[in-house]
Amino acid sequence: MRWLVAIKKRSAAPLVSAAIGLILIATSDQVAARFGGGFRGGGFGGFRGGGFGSGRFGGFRGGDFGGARFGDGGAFDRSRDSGFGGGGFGSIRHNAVFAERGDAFRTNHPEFDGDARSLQRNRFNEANSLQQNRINEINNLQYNHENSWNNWGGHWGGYYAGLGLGAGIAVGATFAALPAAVAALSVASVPYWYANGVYYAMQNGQYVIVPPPQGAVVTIPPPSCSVFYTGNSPNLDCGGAFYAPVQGGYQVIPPPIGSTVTTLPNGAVTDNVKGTTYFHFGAAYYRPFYSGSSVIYEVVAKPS
Amino acid sequence: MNRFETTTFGAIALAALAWAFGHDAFAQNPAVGTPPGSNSIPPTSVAASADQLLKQMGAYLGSAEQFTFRAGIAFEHVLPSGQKLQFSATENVALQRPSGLYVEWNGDLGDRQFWYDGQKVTIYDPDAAFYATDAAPSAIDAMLDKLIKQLNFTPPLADFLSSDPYKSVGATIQYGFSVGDTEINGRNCQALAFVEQRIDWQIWIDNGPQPVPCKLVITYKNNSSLPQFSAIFSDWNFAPRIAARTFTPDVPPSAEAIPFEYVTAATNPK
Repeated sequence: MRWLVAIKKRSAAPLVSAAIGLILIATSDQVAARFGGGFRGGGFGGFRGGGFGSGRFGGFRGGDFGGARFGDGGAFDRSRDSGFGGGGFGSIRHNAVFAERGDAFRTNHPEFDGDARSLQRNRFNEANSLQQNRINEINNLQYNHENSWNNWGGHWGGYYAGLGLGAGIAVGATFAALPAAVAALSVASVPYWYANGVYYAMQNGQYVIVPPPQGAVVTIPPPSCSVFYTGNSPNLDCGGAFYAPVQGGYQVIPPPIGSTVTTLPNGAVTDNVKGTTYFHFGAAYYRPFYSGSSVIYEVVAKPS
Repeated sequence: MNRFETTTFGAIALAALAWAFGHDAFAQNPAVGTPPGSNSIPPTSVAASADQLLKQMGAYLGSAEQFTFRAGIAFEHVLPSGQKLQFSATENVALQRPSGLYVEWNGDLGDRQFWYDGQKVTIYDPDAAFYATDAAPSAIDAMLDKLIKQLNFTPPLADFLSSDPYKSVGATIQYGFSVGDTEINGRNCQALAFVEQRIDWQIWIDNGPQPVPCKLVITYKNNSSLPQFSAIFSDWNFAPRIAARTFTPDVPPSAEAIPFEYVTAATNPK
């Protein structure tokens, strides 16, 4: 390959045309045999044992994405989807199954359309200004968010995250200032502020993200909710926080019977009724099922 | 012209000739070049060598009495904001025809164990401490069908476990060609690329005496963030000593059985 030696002595510009030539050659089946060994690192050179890192992320738990609906539509919430083929993920043969569910999901959620940059522009304007005011680093948040909201007894969540921000800013994040366009509300005489599905409360002189307080009424529901029917009544399932339409807007309600969540509220209590395990938190009872390859919890009537 | 300029020109000319000549290696297909977005599905067009290699791989895997392999996996989830995150996992597979399968998955987002013994399938999530079991057909192909149709999951890479992997992976290919060969984990592997309606995928197949997959990448095109599923295969063993109890579910006594939720129209995401 004497001409390769010649290229080394030249400037970069000729390399471009040579590269184009190589690409054209590569697309031809007849000449493909000549292309042998042209690229290396197909095995992601330098890795060992599978290379992608088979261990757990330190301290990571899927639930830290807190019920945020993943936009790839592979069945409801994927924050708990271990990747083990749920919905046909990872299968060539069943790619249509996986894709169709994604298509159905996106048809019902046009807010997920558009490329990542335009989606993020809409979501991160607020986040950017928030980040200037943030006190905790996001890494600490993911590991330490329980410190703040565990004290908010009786609230739903643990699996609720700042869906409106979409940035993984979790329950427990603290800020010196609120975003510009918040609505103030009050639940049981406790003041809250609300924007884009995210609720803030005052704690120790800072604003902290909290799970949606039961009974809160807001005029604008969180983004990216699904309609969920209890009988004939339409409710909104907003990534683990549920709302019912009421006069004046939408009210936070306990998860309705028949709804499913992928993580239990922090502090859910285990019950065993006639040999079947249930969990309860507040007024809601949950029963575990396998859906796809992951455990989900369905809200059921109180077992007798 | 100096030697380099002559050769560059030669390379381009050769490429042009190769392009014209190379088209003959594909099945005659007037629909190739159908404008994107048109409603008609173009007839398939797969380069002969790519097709041949897929068939060889399929025949080799499909006729094997048993095998084990390991795969290092990277898979991507897309956040609602469009941001894409990559996670990793390792999968270990033991297959014994006609009716034994064990798959173990250890990953960033959790672990799973899956057993099939010819009568039932069992899945276990050690973090949840729950397992589920359900009756299953007595043949592996039928069992894999039931898994996706009724239970809405399939062990990743199950395409290679069927009795006809060529048919499993090749059923909906629209366009395919061979890219070239490269080295993966010390094996020389041929890279093939395929286009389908909803995914593009690449497979690298060992050029040696055992035409096994070296690597697989699936790109999901129906999401604008183009999430991928990648697997690098290793440790293929076609004469393993698999203990019979490998296919018997082995969950801790404290784990509890819960039901599967069957697929219905209602489980489509709203």
